[in-house]
Amino acid sequence: MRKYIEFTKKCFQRSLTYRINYFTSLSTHIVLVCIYIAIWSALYANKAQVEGISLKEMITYAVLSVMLSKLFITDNVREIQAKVRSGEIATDLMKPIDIQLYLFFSALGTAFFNILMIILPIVVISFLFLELLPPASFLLLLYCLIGLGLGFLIVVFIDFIIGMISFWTISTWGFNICKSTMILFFAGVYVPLWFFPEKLRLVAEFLPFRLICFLPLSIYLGKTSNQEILSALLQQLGWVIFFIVMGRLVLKAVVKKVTIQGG
Amino acid sequence: MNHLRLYWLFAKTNLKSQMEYPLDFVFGFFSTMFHYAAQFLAIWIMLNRFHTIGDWNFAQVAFLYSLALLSYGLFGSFFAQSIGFSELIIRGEFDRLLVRPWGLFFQVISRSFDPGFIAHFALSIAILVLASKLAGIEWSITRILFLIPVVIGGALIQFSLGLAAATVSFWTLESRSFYWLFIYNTRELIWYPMSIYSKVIQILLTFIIPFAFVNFFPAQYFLGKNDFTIFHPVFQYLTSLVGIGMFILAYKFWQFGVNHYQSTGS
Repeated sequence: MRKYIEFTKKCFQRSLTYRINYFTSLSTHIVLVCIYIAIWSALYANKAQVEGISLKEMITYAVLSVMLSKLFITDNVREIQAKVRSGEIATDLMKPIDIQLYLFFSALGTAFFNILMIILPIVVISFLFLELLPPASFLLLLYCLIGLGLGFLIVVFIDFIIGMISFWTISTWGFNICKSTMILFFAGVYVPLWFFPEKLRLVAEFLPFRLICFLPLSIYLGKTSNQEILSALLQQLGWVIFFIVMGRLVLKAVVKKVTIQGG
Repeated sequence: MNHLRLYWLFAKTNLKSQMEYPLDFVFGFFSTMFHYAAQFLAIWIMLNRFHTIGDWNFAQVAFLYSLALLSYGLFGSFFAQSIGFSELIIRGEFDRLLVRPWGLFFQVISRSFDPGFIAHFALSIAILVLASKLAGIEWSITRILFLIPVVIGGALIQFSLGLAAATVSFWTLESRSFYWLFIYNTRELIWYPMSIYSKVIQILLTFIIPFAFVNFFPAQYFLGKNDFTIFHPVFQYLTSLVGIGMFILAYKFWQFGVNHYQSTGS
């Protein structure tokens, strides 16, 4: 276990060294927060509530979801692909570590960095100046955080599977764009699912992505019943296990392929 | 004439290298389409529920979006990759360009034809047609003739900003261009009518990063709107001029950067 925690530390430190990257990412998200506040304020002009959601609730949702997207739109796939292309993955496979766990702990390092250095500062400042709504209750905040944690696991293990696909295809760029788009759209970062028309809402309910961001945030705002919360957390757990197992299967196939090629 | 022939040669090479993996190209095409279509769908969902943003309805916002995407597609097809010259500087490969018997700027531009942006064209034209229909725009000859310089001007504005941002790497030796990290990610600003933003952002988008000329101002000519906030209505005609002006400034800055170029020697 200790060695895996080292990977987390390494990735955290590596993120620290990309300073220009950090400042552009920070300013990008400040601009995005401003854009979303302007959009929703303009949409809500002289409407008190739409679908039972007030402007204040919507702005809280928008700020938090834009910031959380930093956590869910990851670079993991590109990093795995770079390893596959350079052949570095071969030595990784030989090491006495579990490659899926290794990538998970690395992703955790980057995530911690993003939380501490980008998400928290902007969220705290937003709370101070924008009068965002506090969580509906302490317990709901706890559920929301558990939900976000499980959502993060879903993303990382999907990333792992897509990254492994690069053993077969030339680039995973297209897959990665599709995945990010699915998350941004169906996790409700662009528009929360409350406002989806019926049919699209049905599609969204069927996919795992709404559990990543939309659900934890509606828990936060107190828009879900206790029963829904329980069912959502269980579904998340189910999806996490599903993607871990899928990843294992793909990894098995990959190892076979590597052996066939003679390493 | 020789320049044109060489450009064509480079473009053909780029096309061939991308077509070497046709499946990859096709998949890239569809995932790009999917990405922008999803963003557009999100805008539709918003306006389906809320009807207007500022005093712009869905058809008008769709028109804004199509203009932004169309000029971005033009920029991407012919210029976007040229911004990657900062990569050459870091790797010390810029030296190679210096010893060739062609103009530096031409060399940078000529490498950058990218057929991958056909997806942006396809989608933006589809949205443009849809938006025109919904907004009842009649495409007279005058309007079509006005659309062309608007799109070219919009592409030039984006290219100039990218060029200026990339030129900074002559000094910073930073490969990750400020452009892709910051401007690319904040393009979202102009998918919505600029009048919904605070005055500070409006001034910024008009005079500093003049993205408002890409779609917000010219769109009002086509839509017959009068939402100029604090600016003069004459701005709706200025896109191509702003594009050319920006390009001249960026080109001067690039020349200044080239003069300061010191090889990384790697």
